[in-house]
Amino acid sequence: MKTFSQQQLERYSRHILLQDVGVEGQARLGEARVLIVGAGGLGAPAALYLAAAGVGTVGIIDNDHVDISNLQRQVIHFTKDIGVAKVDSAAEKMQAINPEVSVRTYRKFLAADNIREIIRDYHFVIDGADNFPTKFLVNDACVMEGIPFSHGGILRFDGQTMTVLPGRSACYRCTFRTPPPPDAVPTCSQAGVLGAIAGMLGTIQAAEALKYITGAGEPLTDALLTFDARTMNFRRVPLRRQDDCPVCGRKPTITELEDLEQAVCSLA
Amino acid sequence: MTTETRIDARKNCRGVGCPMNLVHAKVELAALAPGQVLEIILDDGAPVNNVPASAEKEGHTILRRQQLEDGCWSVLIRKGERG
Ligand SMILES: [Zn+2]
Repeated sequence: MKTFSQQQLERYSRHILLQDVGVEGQARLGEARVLIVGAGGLGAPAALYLAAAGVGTVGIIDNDHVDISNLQRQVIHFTKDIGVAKVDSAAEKMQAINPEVSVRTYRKFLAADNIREIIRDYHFVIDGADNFPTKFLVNDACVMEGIPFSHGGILRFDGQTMTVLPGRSACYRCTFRTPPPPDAVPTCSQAGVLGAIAGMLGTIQAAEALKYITGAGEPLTDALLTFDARTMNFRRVPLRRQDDCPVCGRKPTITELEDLEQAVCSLA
Repeated sequence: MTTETRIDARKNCRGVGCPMNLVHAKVELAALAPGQVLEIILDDGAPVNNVPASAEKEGHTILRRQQLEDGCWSVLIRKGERG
């Protein structure tokens, strides 16, 4: 088994002390590779916690640069980072928290023609994308490649998340068949979002990744967890895998990926 | 009781406080097979009160606690099945 240095034992002591994680779980984290889609509101806390947890390799993909309007919720980016590529800004903070973590940056758009190749190398994907086409793309690609992932979305005061184990639990498309038409989605820059709920949701996603890798607890599968921060009510809506799901059902009709057009919403 | 217990691993945690002494105990136990025995030396006070209790909670068995001349304790822990 992997041996830990005295410094590593101290750094990860609060994980090792957990019976459900322990020495073995921490060793598994060190061997794991997790991809974060989007270095925005959800990706920011997820990236910080995965790095802090000692996940061996964290990949992060985002084509954007840091804008001043991001700083209200994307806590991995600082004022000094305005204008810097988000993936570089995020990588710098992850390394500062934990130099042991290997960070892979992808400054590009995730698209139908590159997603499968990129995700194939990872054990778990955190979807922190800020738009519906990418969320469906991540779902479909992860189902096709058999890679577990955490879906997440936030808007205004609301958040929702579910974990998908392809072939074993309901996928995003089992529940939400197609992206909403572009004109049905509020113009995101006009909808607004309470900054702290990005942390609430992205942190749940990070916890799901850590649980999956260490084998601790039970994943948030076959359920959609939603909250409304106005009342701080959380709801857990049971979901079921659908035989007629177009991507994970018995006779899938989606067997190839294609890019969908939609104006990019910059909320996450 | 003078029966010799076979000891498979030893860890000296003199001067190591809580919770790092438990971390060290867990690291040592993780490397053993169920049924094997770890001797750990713990400080008097909180360490000897806490570490054996935590080990028992995780399914291990405390075979013996013995105070040494310097006031520290030798504790024998047998690794449990669920490790
Ligand atoms: Zn499905």
